[in-house]
Amino acid sequence: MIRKLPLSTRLTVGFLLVLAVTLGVGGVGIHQLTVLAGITQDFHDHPFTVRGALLGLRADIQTMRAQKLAALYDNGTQHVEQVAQRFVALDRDAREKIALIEERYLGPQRDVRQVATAYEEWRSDALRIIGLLREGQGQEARRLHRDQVLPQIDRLMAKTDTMIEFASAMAVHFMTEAGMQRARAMLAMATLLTAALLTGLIVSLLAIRSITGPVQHLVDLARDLALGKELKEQPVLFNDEIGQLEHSFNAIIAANNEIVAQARTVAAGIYTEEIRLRSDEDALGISLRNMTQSLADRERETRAENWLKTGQTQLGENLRSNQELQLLATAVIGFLAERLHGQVGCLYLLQEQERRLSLQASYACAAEEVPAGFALGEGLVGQAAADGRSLLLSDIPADYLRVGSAVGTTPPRHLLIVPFHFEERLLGVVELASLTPFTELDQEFVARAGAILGSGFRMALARREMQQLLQTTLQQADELRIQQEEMVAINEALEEQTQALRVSEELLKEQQEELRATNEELEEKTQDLELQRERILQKNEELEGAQLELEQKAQDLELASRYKSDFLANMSHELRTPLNSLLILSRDLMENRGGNLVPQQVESAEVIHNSGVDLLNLINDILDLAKIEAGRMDLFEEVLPLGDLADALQARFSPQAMKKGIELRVRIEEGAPQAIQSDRQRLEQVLNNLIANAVKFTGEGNVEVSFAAAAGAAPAGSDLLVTVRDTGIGIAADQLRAIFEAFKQAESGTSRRYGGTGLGLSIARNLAALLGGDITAESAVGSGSTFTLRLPQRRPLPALPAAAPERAAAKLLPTTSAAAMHAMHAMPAIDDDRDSLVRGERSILIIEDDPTFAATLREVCRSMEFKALCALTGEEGLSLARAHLPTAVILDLRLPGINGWQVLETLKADPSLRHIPVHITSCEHPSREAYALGAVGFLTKPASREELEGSLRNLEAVIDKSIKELLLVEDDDHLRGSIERLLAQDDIVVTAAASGAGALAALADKSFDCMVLDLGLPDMNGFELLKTLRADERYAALPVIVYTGRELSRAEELELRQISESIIVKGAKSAERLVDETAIFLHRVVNKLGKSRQQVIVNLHDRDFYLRDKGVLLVDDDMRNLFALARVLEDRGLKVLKAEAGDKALSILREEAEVDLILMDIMMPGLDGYQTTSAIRELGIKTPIIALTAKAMKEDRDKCLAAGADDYLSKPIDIDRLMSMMRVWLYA
Amino acid sequence: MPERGDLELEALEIDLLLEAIRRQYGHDFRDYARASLRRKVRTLAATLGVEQISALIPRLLHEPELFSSVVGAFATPVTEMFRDPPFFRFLRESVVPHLQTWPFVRIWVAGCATGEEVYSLAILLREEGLYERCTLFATDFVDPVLSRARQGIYPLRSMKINSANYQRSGGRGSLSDYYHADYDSVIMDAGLRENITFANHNLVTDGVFSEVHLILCRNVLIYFNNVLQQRVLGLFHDSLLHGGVLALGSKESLRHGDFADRFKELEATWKVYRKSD
Repeated sequence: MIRKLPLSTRLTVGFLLVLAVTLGVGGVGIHQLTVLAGITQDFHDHPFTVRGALLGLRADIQTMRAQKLAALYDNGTQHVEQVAQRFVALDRDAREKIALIEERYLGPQRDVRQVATAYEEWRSDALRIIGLLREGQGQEARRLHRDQVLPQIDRLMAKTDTMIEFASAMAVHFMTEAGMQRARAMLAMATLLTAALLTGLIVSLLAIRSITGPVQHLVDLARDLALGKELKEQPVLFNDEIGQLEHSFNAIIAANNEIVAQARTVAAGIYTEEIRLRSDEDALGISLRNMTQSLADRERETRAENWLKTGQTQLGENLRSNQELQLLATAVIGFLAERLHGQVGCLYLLQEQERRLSLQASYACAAEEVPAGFALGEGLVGQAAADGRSLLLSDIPADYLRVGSAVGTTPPRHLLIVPFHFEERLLGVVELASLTPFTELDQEFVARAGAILGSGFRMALARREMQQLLQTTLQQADELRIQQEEMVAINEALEEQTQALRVSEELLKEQQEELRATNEELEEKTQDLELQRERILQKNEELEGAQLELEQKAQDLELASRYKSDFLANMSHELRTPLNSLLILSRDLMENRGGNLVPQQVESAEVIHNSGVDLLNLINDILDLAKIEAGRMDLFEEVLPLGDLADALQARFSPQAMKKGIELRVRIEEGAPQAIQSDRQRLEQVLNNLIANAVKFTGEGNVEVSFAAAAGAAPAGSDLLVTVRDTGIGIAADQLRAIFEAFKQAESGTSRRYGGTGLGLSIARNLAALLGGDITAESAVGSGSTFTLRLPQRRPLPALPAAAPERAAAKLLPTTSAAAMHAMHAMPAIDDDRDSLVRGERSILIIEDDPTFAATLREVCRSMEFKALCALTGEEGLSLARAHLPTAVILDLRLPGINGWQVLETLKADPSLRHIPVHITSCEHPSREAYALGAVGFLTKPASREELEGSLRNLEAVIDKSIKELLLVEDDDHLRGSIERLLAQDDIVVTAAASGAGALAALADKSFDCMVLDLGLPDMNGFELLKTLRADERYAALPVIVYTGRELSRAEELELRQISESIIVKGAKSAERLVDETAIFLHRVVNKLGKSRQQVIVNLHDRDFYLRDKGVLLVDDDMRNLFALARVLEDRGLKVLKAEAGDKALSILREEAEVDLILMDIMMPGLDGYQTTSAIRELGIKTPIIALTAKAMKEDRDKCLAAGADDYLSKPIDIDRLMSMMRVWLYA
Repeated sequence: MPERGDLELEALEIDLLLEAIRRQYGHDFRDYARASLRRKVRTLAATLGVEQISALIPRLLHEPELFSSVVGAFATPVTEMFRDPPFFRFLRESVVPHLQTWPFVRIWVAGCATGEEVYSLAILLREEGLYERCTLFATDFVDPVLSRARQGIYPLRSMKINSANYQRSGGRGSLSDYYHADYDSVIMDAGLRENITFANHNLVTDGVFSEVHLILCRNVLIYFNNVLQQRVLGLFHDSLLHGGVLALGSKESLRHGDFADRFKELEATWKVYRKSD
């Protein structure tokens, strides 16, 4: 501070300071004197004046009081007025005094205010008293004075006393103060004098020092400068001449320092600092500037090169560090954009195959703003790529592209498009846009970057390709592994098979070996056999020779036999003549008409007669036998009413029977012909023999003779059976054959016991044969015998004299009934297969009145393995058709009685016959009418055998694919038409109905094999129709296929599945399935349906009666199982509730109490069986649960039981096991 | 090549091992194709460091957890989605319209392994608008495998080939519509599982559990011997309703068995059959 002053000033200030101190001492002295005078003044003003005023106030108050007092007790109004005037004057004076006190009093002002207040109170009371006195109320004024004013005055006086005391005390205080003030003034004077002296001394010293110090400092500086030291600018301490010298020194130092600093800056590489020239002649500065300039140029070049190099390096690093193409592109465009301060950038890569650039990465661009790709040559990017040159655009239009950020967008101004290559091959293009122009350096960098990008992206692409290849390879490896696994498995299987093959090959070889051995053996054997054969052939020849011989001999024998018979016939005749005489004579003797014979002689004659009769019978028999054998028995046929025959027999044998005590019954059975055509005598002979035998061999019981038609045949044209049944001794089985042989009886003893020649049966049999019939016998020892004579109604033999029957018939005609005539008419039947026909065999009924043609037809039928039934009339044909239900009918239109048309109509009208195909044969031309009536074929007579066979084959084809009736219920006309066409085939007749009512009408009209039903019908819901059908017994078994376009709910499906066979949803492939399903239902055997049901009903025995009406809840998602099980259980009388899902079961259980048992399927979607079971148990329901599962393992069983099931049954369900299990769990 | 006697001994050991497994765990491998089984057993023995196959028996009997790995080893290998795209194309174009004719359709994927096939099928059905009307049963006899199928999580790596298969099979969208990718895995859409019931079912021992319209059992039968194959085919035959469709693997065939004339061949290469009786 001091140093800044010039030396002269400093000296002046020093002296002035001494002068000022001296003046200060004087001033202080004067001040002390003034203070003392003030104190004295105060001394006067306060204690004296205040005290005086107070005393004056007291005096005034006393005066006023005294006067008032006088007025109080004077009562003179005059006096009061004087007092009042006086009071006013005194009061003014008192108030002036109080004001003076207030001004001067130094004690607390409170005292003054109290005095003033007390005065005011007193004054107002005094005024009131004066007032009161004026009004003459002295009493009152006195009381007031006494009670209030007196104490007030006392308090006022006391207060003023206090103040007076205070004023006195102040006087003392002021005295003391003045004394102290004087002492202080003395001390101050002494001190100031000393200070003035010292100041003079210091000022002198300082002045000397402030001049010598700086001069010495400057001397030092000058020396340092000369030595070239770098000096700090010295603070300029002085403002004087030395200060100027210091400034000069500082200028030198500063210049020096600046040059050093600039040199340093340049050395540090900072060339931006301008070298200031101190003057035009500043040589040092100029050379320094030049130097700096050249250094700066060098530096810039180096830096640009460095920038490029680092950029390249970083780019290279980016390329290296990003393996993935996308990441790489993103990193590269980011890097480039940042490096080149581009605001927006895009990177396009060339797609080799498409020769197209596609956007790979972008920087700060909205994707939708940037084109995803360019063709080569398209747009700037494409052009740059095509040219292989960079494009630089400046000041591009504002709407070209926009640079955007969160807060706004702005168009970039400059565009740089750079293609990059690798080995001359274009790889891609980088496009950068910037708000600021791209410098040359930028372009240089981009150009250099192009090469790096080229190799970088080439590498990345190669890497990507490699990775893709690797990926593919890995996947292929995976695939290969799986395939290999399977291949290995297959291979192994093959190997195993090969092994097996090898083994079997070896086996085969062995077998072959064995076979060869066997073959050889066989060959040997064959040779043996050959030999044997030859031998046999030889023997055969021999045998043939022998046979010829035998035949010859047989012929000889026959001849001999005939000779014998002839002889016998002749012989017996010769015998009979003498025998006759013998008999007559012996009888005569026996009768003893002369009475000349002794009884012994008569007896002898009787013996002779009887023996003669026996002999005659024997001879007759022998004769008959011989005649028959010789073929010399003649037959005379006639119409024999059976009644006559029966009566005759009855009459003939009754006496004998009666004699023996046995019953003889002769009956004509129902169905037997009224008459037969035969030789009466011979027939009677046969019957006589049989009945006689029966009577003879029956000891007791009865003999029964019955005439009947052969069993199992239609009434007309059948054989006649005459049965003779006895209850006699019977014949042993081994002798049954023998009895018919001539000269034999059952046993040798029989003859003796019963008599007879033993020729009877033999003759009877021969006679029966002659009549075209035969006799059979059934018997057992002890249980009687049955002999049956079977006679054809008309002998087939032509030996018959032709005229005889006709004559007989003609003779009989008028007398026979219509029925008899019918029978007669029907009699000429054709032999057919009706007796051997087994039901179910293929058979054809031929209704044809021409027997020859019928026989031909029959043969054709047989040749084609049909059994044939022949009827000559329509009536017979119909009855045969009803009786045998033939597979097909061949019908002639021209028939006696009802004609063929009527037959056809009758057949087609009968529901049980209408399915039988009918083929027409007629002389007429084929008619449409026949087909309309339902005929399947028409053959015009006369026909060749080939034609007949053709017709039959046609018939056969029809039989094999019998016509099926299908009912189609569909309301849509087009659809109905198309389905009809789809389903109608040769063997399927489609009846279409458009409504439910139509369907019901059609069903009532005829029977159907199958029904196709659309659910949407105009008049009733398909469901209703179905339910109606199912409720009707007639249609319950009709298979129904629901064909619907409706979306079905699960519940609907469930319902439909219970009442229909199949559900088809209309769609692309539905027609195919419709054909398929209808085929199933049309061609299956209808009876199949009912069968299992019947079986079940049969099984329903009382064993399970306690299962009846038990409630079973069936939980299964498998509909097939659900329905099948429900059916079985329902048939056993159980009440079945069905649930197709676990939750459904739970809801049923919550509502329904009537469940005694639960059958639970395990594998269900949603809640499975385990979960459902657990849930049921959690509901607290204790109903037994039997789990049904397809799983077979022990642990599955355990799981079922753990879930709360009581028992377990594996699928497929064995009903018997289920039932026995249910018996256990339902046994209550 | 081991001596003939060794082979016989080995066969005996394998018999004993399989018997032990059957008796202890109820799994019956006796009718598996023997050659591949032998190879797997040998591998197992080698992995466990066991000299003789019979030495596996005590270990398997006493270490139940070891058994599950054995089951895994014996089980069907993993597969891929839409494997054999032409087959799936055939399903899509020819079988699905047929299935459309039923109001509700039940499908059984037998031997579903890790579930790729059943998901493929679910996707296909969804695209054909049939999924809502379908109930799918996916069964396998190995529980861990089944639970993987239920999760529907597959390595992301596999989706590339799956997508390619899907496209080639006539897929109507993108396979990625049906899964969510995360890290290196994908998880199939939960919606696809809605109508699928995953259940344990052993073709060797278990029976028919439902009536179905379509059965997919591809590349399973090759691991079975002929006896077992016929059993399984019988099971399929009983499960299918009339007109139901059976799809086998391309190396498998009905041709030589009892069922040749009970199915009609729909597609010869991919072995698709229709029940005809």
